[in-house]
Amino acid sequence: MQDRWQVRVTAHSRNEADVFVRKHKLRVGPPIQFDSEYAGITALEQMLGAVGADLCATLMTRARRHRLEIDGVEAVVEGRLENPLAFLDVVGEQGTPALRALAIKVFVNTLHTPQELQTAWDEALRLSPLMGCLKDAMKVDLYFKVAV
Amino acid sequence: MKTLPIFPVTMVGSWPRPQVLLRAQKLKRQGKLTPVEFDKQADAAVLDALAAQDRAGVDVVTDGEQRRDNFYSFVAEKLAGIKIMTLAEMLDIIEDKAAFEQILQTLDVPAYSLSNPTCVGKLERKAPLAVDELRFLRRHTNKPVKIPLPGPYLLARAMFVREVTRQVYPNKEALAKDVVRILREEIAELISHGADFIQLDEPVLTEVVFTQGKTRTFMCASLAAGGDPAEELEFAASLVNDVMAGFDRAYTGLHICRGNWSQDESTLLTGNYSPLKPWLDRLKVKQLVLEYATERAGDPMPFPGHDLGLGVVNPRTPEVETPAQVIARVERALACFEPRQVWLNPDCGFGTFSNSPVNTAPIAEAKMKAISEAAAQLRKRFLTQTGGNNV
Repeated sequence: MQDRWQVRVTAHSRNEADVFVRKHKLRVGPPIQFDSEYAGITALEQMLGAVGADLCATLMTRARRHRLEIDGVEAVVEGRLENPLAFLDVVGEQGTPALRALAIKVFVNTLHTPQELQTAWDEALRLSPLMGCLKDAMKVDLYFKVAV
Repeated sequence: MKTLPIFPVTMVGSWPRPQVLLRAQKLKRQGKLTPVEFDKQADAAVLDALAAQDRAGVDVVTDGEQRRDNFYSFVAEKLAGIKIMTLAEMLDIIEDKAAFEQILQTLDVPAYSLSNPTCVGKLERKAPLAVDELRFLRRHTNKPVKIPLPGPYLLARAMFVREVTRQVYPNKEALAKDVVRILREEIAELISHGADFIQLDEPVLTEVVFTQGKTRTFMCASLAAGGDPAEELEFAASLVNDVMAGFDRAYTGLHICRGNWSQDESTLLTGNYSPLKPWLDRLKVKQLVLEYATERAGDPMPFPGHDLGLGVVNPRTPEVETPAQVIARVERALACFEPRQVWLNPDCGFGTFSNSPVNTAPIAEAKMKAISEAAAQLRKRFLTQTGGNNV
């Protein structure tokens, strides 16, 4: 049973890296960016996207296992760094730019009640690989809402 | 023409849909329920909404907009050239994704829950927008009926999504000409079928004046960004007057509000009617249906030549206003209007968006009942001073 996965990352500059994974390639921008007009997608943003996708997909899988009909799931994932200025090496700034907290809102498009979904949600939190790791490593605020 | 008592009680439009109808709407959207099957469920919901209005003593009834998914995007299935797009789909095609993301964050809703009737082809009326609603009401009530319709400015703003609409219409002004034509066709037909009160909904007018320099917040109706406020208001007023031209004998109204998507009042717009007044004064409608229960709307002001649909209860709060509170609000308005000019209604609908009603049906009914009780007291007080209203 496979228990490890690997990607290869090739950096061309400090702002861009290509990630080779199986037969695919994706481009990742710098670790973080403060320019809202920046055209690429940063490593942090890709990570937040991966966390949200992981949780959404696992929730849909668990709901299906319980024969709950879900038309869609949408997650809003916000990550908070301890001190972003430390990343820029700003003189006098202390600490680390490490990701310290996540706030995740999950909207579920279904006619089922939140109570009916609760078990699937609890299982999703327990069984999603990325969430399972991160919620032990940092503060994670989770919010789950049924919205048709 | 029907004669009404003074201080007629009416709805702005929508009533919370029952869960079974929301399920039916969803199944219809997915193609799993035929329009005929959906109508059966909607008929039952309309009758329930009518019965509730009867119990509450409402004088001029609506069908609670039970057949509509919301107050304006329902037109999509009645018009050729329109495609319903969720915000999730639109995020794929629009250039200013960040602005949409800001709207979503402000509203705290998922992108899939917002849908917009987007113009993707030449607009034509495939089916009447609301005549069927009127016919059904006519078969089941003898009371005067109000039919709310989305206003021309709202429709033109919402439907014109530059990235896809420009292939058909060069700008929203060109699109608006067809919107006006379609609304005029509809209103003529509604009048011929005996609609007593036709109301245009133009909530986006407040978005024009109250969000300058701020994050746009108005659900859906602000998807297409507006320009200079004065130009936009001029444009809006001209469209409304173009729609209403020649319908002088019908009783017509225009409703505006400051948002009705959340019970969190802090997310809704704030400001009195002063910036809108020069344009509102010129509108060729009989009645202005205005919010006044919420403090965000400021104090009543005169609108010469117009009756007032006075908002006297907040549709979003769980607390039911007392008749005394309603009367106090009427008394404030009577500083600017004659008693015969004042109609009583909630600030807005109770279920503007079918999937996010702002109240429950029992509370909506209790609020309408409080208005009726207040109206009864006011009629006793003012009976000797004035006659009734005609619609």
